[in-house]
Amino acid sequence: MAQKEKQKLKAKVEEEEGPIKQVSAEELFKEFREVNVSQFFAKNKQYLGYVGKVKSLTTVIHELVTNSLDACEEAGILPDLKVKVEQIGEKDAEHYKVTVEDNGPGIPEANIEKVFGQLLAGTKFHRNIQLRGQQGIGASGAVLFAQMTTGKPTYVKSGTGKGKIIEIHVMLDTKAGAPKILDKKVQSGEWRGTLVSSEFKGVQYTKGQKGPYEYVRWTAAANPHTKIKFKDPENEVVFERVVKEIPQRPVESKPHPSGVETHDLLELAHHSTAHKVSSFLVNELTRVSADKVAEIQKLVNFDLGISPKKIEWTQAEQLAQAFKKIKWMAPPAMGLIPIGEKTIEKALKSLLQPEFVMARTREPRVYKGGIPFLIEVAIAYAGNAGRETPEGKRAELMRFANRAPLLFDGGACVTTAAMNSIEWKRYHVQDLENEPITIFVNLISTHVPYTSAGKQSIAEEEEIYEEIRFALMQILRDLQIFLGGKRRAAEREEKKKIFEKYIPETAKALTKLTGEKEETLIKKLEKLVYDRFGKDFSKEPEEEKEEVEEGDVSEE
Amino acid sequence: MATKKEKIEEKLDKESVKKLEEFGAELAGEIKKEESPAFPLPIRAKSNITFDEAKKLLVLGEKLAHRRFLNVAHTRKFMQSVLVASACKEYIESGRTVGKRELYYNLKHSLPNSKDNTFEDDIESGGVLDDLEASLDILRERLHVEAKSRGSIYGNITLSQAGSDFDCSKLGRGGWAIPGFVEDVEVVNFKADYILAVENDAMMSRLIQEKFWKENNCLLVTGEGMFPRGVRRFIKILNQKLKLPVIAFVDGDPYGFYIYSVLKYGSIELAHLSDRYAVPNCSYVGMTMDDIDEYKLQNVTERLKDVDVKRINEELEYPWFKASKDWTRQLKLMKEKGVRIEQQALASKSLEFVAKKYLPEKIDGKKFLP
Repeated sequence: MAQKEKQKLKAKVEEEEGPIKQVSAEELFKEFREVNVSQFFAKNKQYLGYVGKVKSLTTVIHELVTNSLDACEEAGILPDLKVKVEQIGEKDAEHYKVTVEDNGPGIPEANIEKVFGQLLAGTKFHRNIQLRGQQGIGASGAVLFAQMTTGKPTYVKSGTGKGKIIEIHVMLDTKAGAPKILDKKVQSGEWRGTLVSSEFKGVQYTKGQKGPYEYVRWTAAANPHTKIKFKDPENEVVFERVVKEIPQRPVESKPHPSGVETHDLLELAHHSTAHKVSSFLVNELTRVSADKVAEIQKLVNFDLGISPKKIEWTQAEQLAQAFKKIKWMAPPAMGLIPIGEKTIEKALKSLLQPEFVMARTREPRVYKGGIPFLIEVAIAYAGNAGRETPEGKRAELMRFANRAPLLFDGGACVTTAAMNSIEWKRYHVQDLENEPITIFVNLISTHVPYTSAGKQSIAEEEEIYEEIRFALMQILRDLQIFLGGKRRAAEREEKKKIFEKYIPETAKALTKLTGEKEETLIKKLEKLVYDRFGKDFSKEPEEEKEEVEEGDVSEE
Repeated sequence: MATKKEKIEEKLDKESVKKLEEFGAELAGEIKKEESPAFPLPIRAKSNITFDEAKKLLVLGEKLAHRRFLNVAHTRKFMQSVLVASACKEYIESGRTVGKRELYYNLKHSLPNSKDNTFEDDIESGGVLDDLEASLDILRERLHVEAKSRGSIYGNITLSQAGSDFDCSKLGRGGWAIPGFVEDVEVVNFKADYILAVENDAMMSRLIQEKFWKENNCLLVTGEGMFPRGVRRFIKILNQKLKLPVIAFVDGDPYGFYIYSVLKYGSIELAHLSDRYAVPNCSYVGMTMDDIDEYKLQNVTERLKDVDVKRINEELEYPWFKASKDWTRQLKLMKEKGVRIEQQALASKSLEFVAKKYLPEKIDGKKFLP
């Protein structure tokens, strides 16, 4: 819906029902927790990713892997993950067991039950911080999904490396909305990490697009500091660690005024503990100084000394408009931790062995709401780049939000739109769909603007769209040069083949004519061709002098 | 006599083989020295043709192209050239002569590890043969490849070839088919005042039936369109040895004019051999643009097409036409009238009109174009 229409609609609703108060997810869940949790889950499972046989299994792995990575990084540990998908019973039983193990910090005994047995018990919810998971429903959601499809509890083993290893079988008490521990074992040992193992029914494992294998492969691409051992019902693949630096920890950041919209301001103001609008602005937004407050005061017709709880829509609107007239310092990007160009390139080289790879990490920007973001784009070409299909290689778009793969709903994603807006042919990419090309796009932000609660595609925010385009075009200028060279090499190869085709016949005829040894002539002719065109194309040969073929005037 | 002739042949064959072997040795030498093998080739295109006003011949210029093995545009033709050269050596040494199309089939085979053939058609092999002829300065007949035979002769002349004599006035309505290789044809006796070279074979047949040759004491020769090499060479031999003037009778259109110019001055393609083929003292009896009014043929003309006009414009630029007021006038007149006139249009008067009136009137009155 266009912004204008939204506003109109909002205004209309407000006229009838009073100002709309944005309901946060927190409140939403508070309400629901009082009713039946499994009912809530059943109603909302599509938003939580538990819909479709393939997608549900991928979602389970996503939730567990994401938790492991975040935990390892927060504890400063280089992640070592083991992901295992086992088939239970017959092939068409649609019954699988998933085990994810990490070498993370483990979960303290006091927290373990809640982490797995209670929805929304996460530590990341609504912090203005760049993390993979955001709603804290992950691990417990998987536990609930397991018990709903198989009736079985989830096995969790956790050790903090300090002498104690805890093993539990946990379920959710859906009526109480509380964890239910079936058995618990505590033993001593130095093992550190977390292992989660659950069974699911009504799911389907596939190695193809959108399956767990692809999920893990993409995770490896965006998290090259991670080693992942992946075992599916048929094979075992190890994605080796490519870099040894743990990504820097992101810090929380506040919204930037240049992107704050009226309703964001209104909500922030009403939740603020500040006594005056002026101090609210300084405290809740970034880059607002006393000087800037004075500038703002000149642009609005109310006193910034009033309580922020009292400001109304029109006043918030004035503020938002004033923000747009003032020149701001760029937002601090401390909250945004990119993967980095070098690291992405290393990761893709290791994963795809491409002939060309280049990554670009753009400077931080904000999109509406004052939310900082930055874009990282990479392109890998040839080698194992591209998506393998029975008909050959196809273009592959790897989408990530804060390093987490977005496997579903690609059609609605801003990355797809940006990719399609580019005139690829101009860059020697003749037929994008059918090229051996992998396009990597990672959006880093404290708040990713997903199109829906399914969190699988990024909304088409203009600033994000433009940044992706710019980054792509920057890389494409180099790809163009590479492909130009490749094309020339292909042409040389083509020429070489033409000469090779005529060598034997030429030598044979000359032997008949002169009595020279045929083999000598062949060898010498081959040497001439290879000296000119090279056996491999590591070096550019001397430019061939083309001579105009004599005329073809035919009179007889 | 025969042994002497055989000795000459043998000597010529040895020379040919020597030329071919030298050609191969030079290329093999370059290859062994790891130099890019190439051979020079006179450029046989209009850009390298000049019109020698004094000799009245098309003359090939000095411009040389090089056919190089290490050039993608040349390498196929390079291979074909050495292939044809080696085959010709074999033909000469085994005492065989092949036809142009036979050569093509003899050498056509698929290349190793490829779908391509050494030659895809006889145009390819024919072109390479022309090249080799020009490059080695040697006649294709001496390479033991016969030019395509087409065209015939009729009249009071007895010829001898391969040990048999034949009287060309006693060959029914057909005439003697002139072979591609005519060097060994000998004239036993003849009785004629001139040679009439006729473009169209149907016209030839008309003139034979009307006994034009007998009544006008001439030899009739046709090339069935453009005169092929054998016919041109044969006309040249008769012209030189028997001192017979040559009169051309062709269509009144740019193609007829060009056929005449090839007969008289030589062709662009074979400019390197002009002095063996061209008959500079040849003259032109018809059809002319003036004939249309003179003989009231306006209603049997045909409208010029765009390609015809294009061809006229090209010919207006050819030095040999440009140098002649008469021919420039004819070409311009044709453009002006916008029509062309065929030899056989004369049949509109009556079938015998051409033999009884048109030709005798014009030839006796020496109404020729130069």
